[in-house]
Amino acid sequence: MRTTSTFDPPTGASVRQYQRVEAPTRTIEEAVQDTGHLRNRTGLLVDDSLDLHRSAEQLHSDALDKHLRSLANERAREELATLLEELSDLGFSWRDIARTSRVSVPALRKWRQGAPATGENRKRVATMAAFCNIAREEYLVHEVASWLETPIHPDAPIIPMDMIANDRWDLVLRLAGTHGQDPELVLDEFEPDWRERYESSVEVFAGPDGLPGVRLVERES
Amino acid sequence: MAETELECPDGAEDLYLAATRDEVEASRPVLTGDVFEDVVIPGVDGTGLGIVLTHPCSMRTDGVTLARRLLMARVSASGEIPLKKWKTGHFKVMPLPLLMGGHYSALFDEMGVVESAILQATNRVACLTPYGINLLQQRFVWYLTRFLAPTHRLGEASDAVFEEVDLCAEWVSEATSAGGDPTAAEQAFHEWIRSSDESGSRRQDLLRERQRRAGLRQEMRRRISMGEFTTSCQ
Repeated sequence: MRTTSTFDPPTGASVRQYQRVEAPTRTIEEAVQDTGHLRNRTGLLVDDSLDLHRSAEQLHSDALDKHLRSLANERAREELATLLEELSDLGFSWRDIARTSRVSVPALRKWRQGAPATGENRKRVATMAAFCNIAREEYLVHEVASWLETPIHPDAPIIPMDMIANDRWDLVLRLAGTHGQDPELVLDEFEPDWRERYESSVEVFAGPDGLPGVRLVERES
Repeated sequence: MAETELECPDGAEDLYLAATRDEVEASRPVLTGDVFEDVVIPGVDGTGLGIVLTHPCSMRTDGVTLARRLLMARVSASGEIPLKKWKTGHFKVMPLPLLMGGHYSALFDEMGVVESAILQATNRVACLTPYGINLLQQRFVWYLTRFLAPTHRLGEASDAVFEEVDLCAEWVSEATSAGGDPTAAEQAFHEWIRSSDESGSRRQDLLRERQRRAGLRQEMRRRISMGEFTTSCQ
């Protein structure tokens, strides 16, 4: 049934005589039905686009992970001492290298002096070196050690290095790729209760001697 | 607010930089949480293990020289204390699981002031990680005052000192490996860290900014690689 306001356009001969014919008045019920229909369609479109976004994000994350693993495999063929030297030159602390390699600082010292490491440990060091390559060359994170040591959100002490120590390379790659956008989403994924955990009634302040101290946060009255 | 109970580590390995004498780096400056053996603590019975409790910022009189006396607590063998139990009890102690392969605890009700000169480097059997030190401080503060200070805030207040100790240990260790004199190397490090960098900022002050630390390490390592670890610097 033809009920809309679309009519055939006037012909050249009839244009002067053309009189606008009003569309039939639509009932409130019809308008409500149309709106509901539109709402359903837009809702479905939003769902579809969210699914698409998630799929694309997952695909992107998988691709990055694969890229990292493949580069890490390549770098694992290098001398361990060379890899450690490279990380040292980038400014990493031995404590952090040890933590991400899941060994003690004394064990790291022995590796530097030529002691052998297990394949798993070697791979961890190689992955770190590979990540630094990707971060610097593809994401233009020039001071990668410094970047990995800096908290990603002012309300939590969590640093990207904590994520690496927990094997969450996907999150660190995402942070590097987005230049730190949406840090809250990344933190939600890494430590879902971070807001409650790090909400604190204690703050650090400079004491009368200029050195840092801790005190209770002053509450506004 | 989250501060409703004390904290505990995920595993014993989170506590130690070195958990046996062999692992201790001799060049590392004495710091809070260091465990020594053969320590006599005035007012505490016998000779045995002792742990340094003095705050990292109060250990050195001029920032370099170790204070003449340090506060220490006796460390004794104890049963294993499950990690989760740290949160709700055992408030008179700092558990030290897997210290030298056994289970020990630092006893807050057995402490006293010890002459730092008697603490021999060769008698140091363990060093705590920064997180281990923060946990020690949290428990000690709780024992003394019933005030619950979160470890991440305690860490924020002491991070720069921990970093300086790491840098000093690395500098002296590299100097010693290259045949340098450890005392001269330590002196040179202290001069370097207290001097200003190209921007005119004192390096020691820069250590308080997390994002500046990696750059300082790079600068220090370049200096070490050029063999400049026993000379004063700018």
